[in-house]
Amino acid sequence: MEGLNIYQGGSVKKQRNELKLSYKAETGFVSPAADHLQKPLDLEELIVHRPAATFYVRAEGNAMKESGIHDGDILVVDRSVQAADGNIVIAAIDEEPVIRRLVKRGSRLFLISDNPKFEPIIIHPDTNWMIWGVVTYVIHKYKL
Amino acid sequence: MILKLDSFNNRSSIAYAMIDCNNFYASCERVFNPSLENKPIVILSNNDGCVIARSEEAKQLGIPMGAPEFKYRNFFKKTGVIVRSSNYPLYGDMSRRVMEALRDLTHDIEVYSIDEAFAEVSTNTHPDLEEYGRIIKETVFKWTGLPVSVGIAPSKTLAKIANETAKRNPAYKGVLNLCENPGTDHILKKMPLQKIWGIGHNLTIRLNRFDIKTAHDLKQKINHKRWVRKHLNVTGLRTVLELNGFPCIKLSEALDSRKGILTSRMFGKPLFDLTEIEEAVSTYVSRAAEKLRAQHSLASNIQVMLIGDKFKNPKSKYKYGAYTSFKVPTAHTPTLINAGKQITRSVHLPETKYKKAAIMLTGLVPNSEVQMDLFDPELYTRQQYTLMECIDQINTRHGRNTAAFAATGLHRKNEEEASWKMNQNFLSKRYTTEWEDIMIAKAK
Repeated sequence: MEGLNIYQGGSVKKQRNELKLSYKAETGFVSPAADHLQKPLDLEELIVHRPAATFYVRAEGNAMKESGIHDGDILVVDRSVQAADGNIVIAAIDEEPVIRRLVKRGSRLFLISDNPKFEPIIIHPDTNWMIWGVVTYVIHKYKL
Repeated sequence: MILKLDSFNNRSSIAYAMIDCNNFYASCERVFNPSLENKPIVILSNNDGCVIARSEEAKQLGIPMGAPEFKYRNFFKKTGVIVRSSNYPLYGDMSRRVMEALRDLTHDIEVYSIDEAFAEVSTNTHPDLEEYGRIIKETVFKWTGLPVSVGIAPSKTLAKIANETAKRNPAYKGVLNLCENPGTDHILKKMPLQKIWGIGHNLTIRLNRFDIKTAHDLKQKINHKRWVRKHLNVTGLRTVLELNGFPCIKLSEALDSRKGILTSRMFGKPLFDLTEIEEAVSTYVSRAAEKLRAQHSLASNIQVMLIGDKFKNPKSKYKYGAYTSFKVPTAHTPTLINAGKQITRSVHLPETKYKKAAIMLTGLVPNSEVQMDLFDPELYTRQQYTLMECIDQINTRHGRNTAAFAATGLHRKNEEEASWKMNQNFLSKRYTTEWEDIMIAKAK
């Protein structure tokens, strides 16, 4: 590549080029395995069913340990899933995101924690809450 | 062309929906921070200069678009306005999710901007279009947490009017269908000309002279063929037809074929030093090149403008730029950076304070249209193309700037060190693009 023409207010300046790039074309043999190539397993394919609606959320605290959620775990949350009885959900309660289990008893709804220290939340018509999303997988890293 | 007055003889199973996100930037901030619900929010421009987006509550407080942050600082404090720097990685990702959801829900979409799309909807699958609009609205909200408004009509021009009306008037609850809606004319009578899609300022003035003030006035002109031919160009005629429910503007086959890519930023502080300015320019060129490759295009020209302070530099040399053309269009970052740096050197004046740089890539052509010549080193070769693809993949997978070009100032490890980096003092987290930034929920 030689110098560039730079156009500036109608006049042309020649510039010396200082960047040298060279590439070598690689040629190789066709591998006999090429006919049997498959895509390697992709973890995302397994855990993300609806990319547009899937978010990752970090868990804080151990109050949902019996359900397999530890402090610092990453939760896979799918907002497109309709929350059902027994699902672990991210709920915004009084505008704070919390992790709880949704329980339906007849027409009544509860949000319960694994830790008895935390009272069940009974959903009333005036409760300030919304289901943010349903937890579909937990990513837990073991200490090595 | 025979124009019929009664457009509803023109029954078709296809209608157009215009979907747009309500106060998009502010809504994105709320999804991951529910405590911002119902609070006034403003989003600032790059470098925290002025207000570029407002939540409904902030609009109610009378904060204008473009309000300078420093002038309103005390007002924001007093009234409890939440201030945010623009978080484009977050907005870009949320936009992608909305468009993906719309693709799932409709026949075909055309992304119109970061927060708007046209969609083709069909009565064959959803006989009740208003109901369909509600499904779209509720599904997008459920999946992404973003509120949208939906306008449906026989043509794109009317769909935009329906959307605008649904957004302004709470009675519609965010969805309005104008297909075979007897109230359409009533709405068009209240719609000023300049609000119509494709009617520019000049045409508005010209039409006003003929006492055409509203969308309804213009719609009536379908009965005055001679007048239309005399006073309107093809675009104007199309608008008249569209207002009458005859669709003339189909969904674009692809994303709008943008004429150019512009990256322009304020430096964090004014710069004298040529090396620092070159680094900033190289960084902006890199970004522009990424955008270029993402839309599978090549650029024929690159333009660099260095903008100084016209008040401190009264010689009016405050806007200074130059461009160069490539023999063959390219998307090769080193080639582009090299050209960008050379232009920078040629326009840079010593003893001048620069506060901003702008890079423009123009003469865009689709990748497929360029013959790659493997024997001429001057050309954008296959190897260069493959290298660029690799780098983009690494950066997509492992975070921006994992693989970057030395010219962008890599040796300054600390972002703070680089004086041209933007001020972003009110930045929320990058909830969807950085692992360190994902939302936290408490188990309790």
